[in-house]
Amino acid sequence: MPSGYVRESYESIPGNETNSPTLSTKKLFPPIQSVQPKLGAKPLSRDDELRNQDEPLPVITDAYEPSWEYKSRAYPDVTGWRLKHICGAPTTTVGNGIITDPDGVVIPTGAFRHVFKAPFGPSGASPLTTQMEAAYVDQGTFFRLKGCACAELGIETPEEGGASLSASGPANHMARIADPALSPAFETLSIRPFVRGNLTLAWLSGSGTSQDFSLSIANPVEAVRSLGIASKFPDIMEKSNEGPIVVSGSIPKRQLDPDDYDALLNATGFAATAKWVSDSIIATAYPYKLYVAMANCQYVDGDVDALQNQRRHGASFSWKSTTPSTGSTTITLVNATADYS
Amino acid sequence: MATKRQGLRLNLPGAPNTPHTVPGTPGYYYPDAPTPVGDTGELSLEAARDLHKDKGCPLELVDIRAAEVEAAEELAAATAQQGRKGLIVAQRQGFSGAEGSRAKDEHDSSKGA
Repeated sequence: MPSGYVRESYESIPGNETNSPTLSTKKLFPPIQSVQPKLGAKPLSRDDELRNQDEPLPVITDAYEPSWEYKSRAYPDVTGWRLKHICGAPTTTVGNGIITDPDGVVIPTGAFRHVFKAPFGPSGASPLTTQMEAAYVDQGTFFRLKGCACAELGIETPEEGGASLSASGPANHMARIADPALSPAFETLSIRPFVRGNLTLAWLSGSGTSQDFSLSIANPVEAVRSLGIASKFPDIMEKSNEGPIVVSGSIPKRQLDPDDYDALLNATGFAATAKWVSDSIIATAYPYKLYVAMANCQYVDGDVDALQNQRRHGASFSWKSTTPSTGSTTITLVNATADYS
Repeated sequence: MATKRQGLRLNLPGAPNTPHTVPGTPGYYYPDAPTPVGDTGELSLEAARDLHKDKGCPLELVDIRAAEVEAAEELAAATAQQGRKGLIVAQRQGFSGAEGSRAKDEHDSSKGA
C-alpha cells in the first residue's frame, strides 16, 4: 500500500523562508490524485565567462522559484477549500431550515451555504496563501511549502471519472523537513465527488447542444524578492498587474447554432448558471450543491467546425464572466463544512 | 450500573461532520460523534488509547454519555454500511493516483476492528 499525504492550512500572511504566519484552524488532508511540489532551482551558470576553459564550469546556488500543482476530484469539502484559496473567504451561513439556495430550496440544519461573490478577495496587496506539507512517506522524504498562492483553478466535468479540480501557483518557500509523523484523515468515499450526471447548464437562449463545459478561475499573482530578507527564495506574494480575478472557460457545442455565432459576433452578454447537484446527501434529503452563476457571460473566442462530409457540425466557444458594474460571478457551495477559517 | 463506554472522535479542526477514515485504523470517525470502542467487533480500548496518545493521529478518546451510547453504536453500524456502499460506487468510477490505496484503507475501515 503506497503511503503519502498532503496537509494544507491557510496562512494569515504569505509565508516565506523566515516568517511564521498564523495557520488556519481548519486543516485539510485533501484526497489528492496528485500534488507536485516544485523547487524551481535556478542555479547560477558561469559558462559565459572567458576563463580559457572549454568545459562547463561548476554551477552555484543562486535562486529558487518554487511552485505547486494539484489535482483531485471535486469533493464538496475540498471544492470549498480550493475556491476560498483563489477567491478569498466566502460568506458562510448556517443552514437552519429558513435560508435557501439559489434555487429557492430551503437549506436544512447540518448544511452550510458558502457564497463567493465577485469582486473576489482578499483585499490588500497579497492573495490568500496556504502552507502545504507533502509527505512522501514511503520514500522518507517530506516537504513544506509556504506562501502557496493559487494562480489558477480549473473545474472540469468529463463524461466519466468525476468532476476534477486542477490548481497551481507559485510559492515563496520549499523546504525538506523532518517527518511530521501525521496520520491523515479522509472523508469517507460515500461522500461522492460531483460528477457529469450532476451538472446542468442554463445558457444562452437558443444555444446549440452542449458537448462539454469547463470553468477556469485565473488569479494573477507573483512571488517576488523584495529584499526584505536575505534569501534565495521569494519573500512576498503579491497580486500582479495582469488584471482582476477572471472566471472564464470553454463550451464546445455539438451543433453549430446561429445564436451562438451571433453572440460571439456581437459580444452579447447573457446570464448563465452551471449547477452541480450531488448524489450524496448532507442532511434531511438535501444534497451537496455547487452553483456558478454569471450575470453577464460573453463569448470571447470561438471557431466553427470545418465544413466537410459529416452529418454533424459543431463549434467551440470560449467564454468569460464580465460585468458593467459589480457582481459578475457568484459561486454558491452548499456542503457540510461549517467554516473555512 | 452500566459499564462506562468510550469512543474515538476525530480531532481534525474544521473537518465537516461526516465520517472520516484514518488509514491503518479500522472504523469511521466523526468530529461531533464518538465511535464506540472496546466492545465486540469494535476497536480495542488499548488500541484506542494508543491512538489517543499518538500526537500525529487526529483521533481522541472521549467518554460517551450513557444516554448517547445506543445512538453512537447505531451511527457506527450505519456508517460502516454506508461506507461499503460508497466504496462500491467509487470502485465503479475507477481509481487513479493514490486513490486505490485510500479505497483499500476504506475497505479495511468498513470491515470494523
